[in-house]
Amino acid sequence: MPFDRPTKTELIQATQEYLQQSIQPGNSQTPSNTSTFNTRIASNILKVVERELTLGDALNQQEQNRLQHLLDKQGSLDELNQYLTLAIREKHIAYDDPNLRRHLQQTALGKLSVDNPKYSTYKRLYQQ
Amino acid sequence: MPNSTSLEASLLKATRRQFHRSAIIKNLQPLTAGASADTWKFNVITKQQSRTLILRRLALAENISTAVSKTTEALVQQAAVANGVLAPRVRFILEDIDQLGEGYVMDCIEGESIPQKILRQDCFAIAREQMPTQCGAILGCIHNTPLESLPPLPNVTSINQINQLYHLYLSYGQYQPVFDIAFCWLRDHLPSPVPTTLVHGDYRNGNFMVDQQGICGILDWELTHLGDPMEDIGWLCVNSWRFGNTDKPIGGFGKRAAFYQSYTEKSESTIDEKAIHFWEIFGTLKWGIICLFQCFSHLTGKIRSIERAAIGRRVSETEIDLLQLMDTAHAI
Repeated sequence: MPFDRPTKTELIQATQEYLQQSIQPGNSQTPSNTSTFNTRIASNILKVVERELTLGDALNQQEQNRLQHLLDKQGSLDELNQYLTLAIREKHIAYDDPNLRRHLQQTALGKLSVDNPKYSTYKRLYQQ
Repeated sequence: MPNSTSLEASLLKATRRQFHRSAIIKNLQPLTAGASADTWKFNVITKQQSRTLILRRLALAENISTAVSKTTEALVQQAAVANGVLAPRVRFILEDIDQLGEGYVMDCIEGESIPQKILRQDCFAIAREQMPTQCGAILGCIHNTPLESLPPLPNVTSINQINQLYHLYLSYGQYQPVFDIAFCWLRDHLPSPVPTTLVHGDYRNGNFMVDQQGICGILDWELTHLGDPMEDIGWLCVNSWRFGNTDKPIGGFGKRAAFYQSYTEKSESTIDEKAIHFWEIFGTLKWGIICLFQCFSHLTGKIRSIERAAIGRRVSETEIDLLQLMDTAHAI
C-alpha cells in the first residue's frame, strides 16, 4: 500500500491539536513527564511528515510500477493494493510466492524509510 | 477522570473495613502506567504499620482482546502468588458495598518497569544478568499453577484467536497484504494441541517490575486465560519488546537457551520451538493490529490522542518483522 493511516495531513492535524491543547490555560495539571513524552511524539511525527514529503512520491511510483508488473494490471496504487490483498485472501496468489514476497519486502522497507528508519530490523537489513 | 475526593472517601471506608477502623490514607495519586486500568497508589497507615498499596479498577479504555473482569484478574493473581509466582499480593477485592466499582487492592512493588531504562541504565547491569533465568523460572511457575485453584477462565485456542484478530482487521477496511499473508501462514501452521495451562497473556518486557537484583514482580494480569503455554513465550520474543536489542530475543535482555533451561526446570510443559515460532508470528501480527486499532480509535474520534495517531505509522515495523519471520520459517 502507499503509506499507512494516518495520512500526512491527519498526522499534521493530530500534532496541531496537541499543540493547541498544550497552550490552553488550565492545562498545567498535566504531569510534566507526560507532556515531555507527547512533545517528543510531536517532534517525531513532524520528521515522518518531512521524510514523506521528500521521499513519498518516488516510493509510491516505484511501488505502483512493481505492482503493475507483478499483477500484470493497470490502476492506481490504492486499486492495485486492494486487488493484490483480495487475491491473497481468495488464494489466487500463493502467499509464499517469491515475487510477491520480494515486492512486499521492498514496500515495507520503503515505508520504514519514512516511518522509522531507526527501526532495528530496517537497520539490520540495510547493513547486510 | 474520577473525582479523587469521593474516591478517597470511599477508599478510606473500604480500607478501614479491611484493615482497622482507625486506618488513614495518605498520598493518593493516579499512576499513568497501566492504560487499560484505572490505577492509583496510596499509603495506608495504621497504629501498627504503614504500607504502600495499589488500587486497580476497571477503566473505560477498550482492549482488543477480551480482558477478564477485575475480580477474576485478582483471583488469578492470588492463585499464581500462592503457587510461588512473584507478583503483587492481592490485599482485598472490592465489593458492592465499597461503591468503587469493580477492582482490587494489592501490594505496591517498588522498582522500574520502563523497558528502555531496564535495558540501558548501569544500575540494572546485575539485574540484566539475572533476568533471563528469572524470567524463565517465573513463567514456568505461572504455567504450573494448579488449574483447580483458578476461577473460571476462557479457554482460547490458536484458531479462535486468529479468527478474532482477523475480524478486527477486516473491520478497519484497510488493505494490508502483509497482514493477509500472515493470516494465511498462521492458518497453515497451527500448533498441535497440548495440555492447557494458565497463560498470563501479556508476559513481556514492560510488565516486569525490576529492581537492582532483577525481576521482583509480574504485572498486568488482565489478559490472562487458559491456553497453549507457548503463547506466552512467543509474545515475550516479539521484536517490538526487544527495544533494539534484536540479538536478545528474550525481552531484549536474554538468549533463548538460558531462558528455556530455567523454564523447563519449573514447568511441566515442554518447550516446542515450532509452536513458539508460530506464537511469535501471531504476536507480531497482533501487535500490528493493535497499532491499527489504536490509530483508528484516534481517527474516528473515540479517543483523540497524538500518541494513538503516531502508533498508526508503526504498522510498517510489524510488516517487516512478519516478512522476516515467515521467511526463516522455511528452515524450522
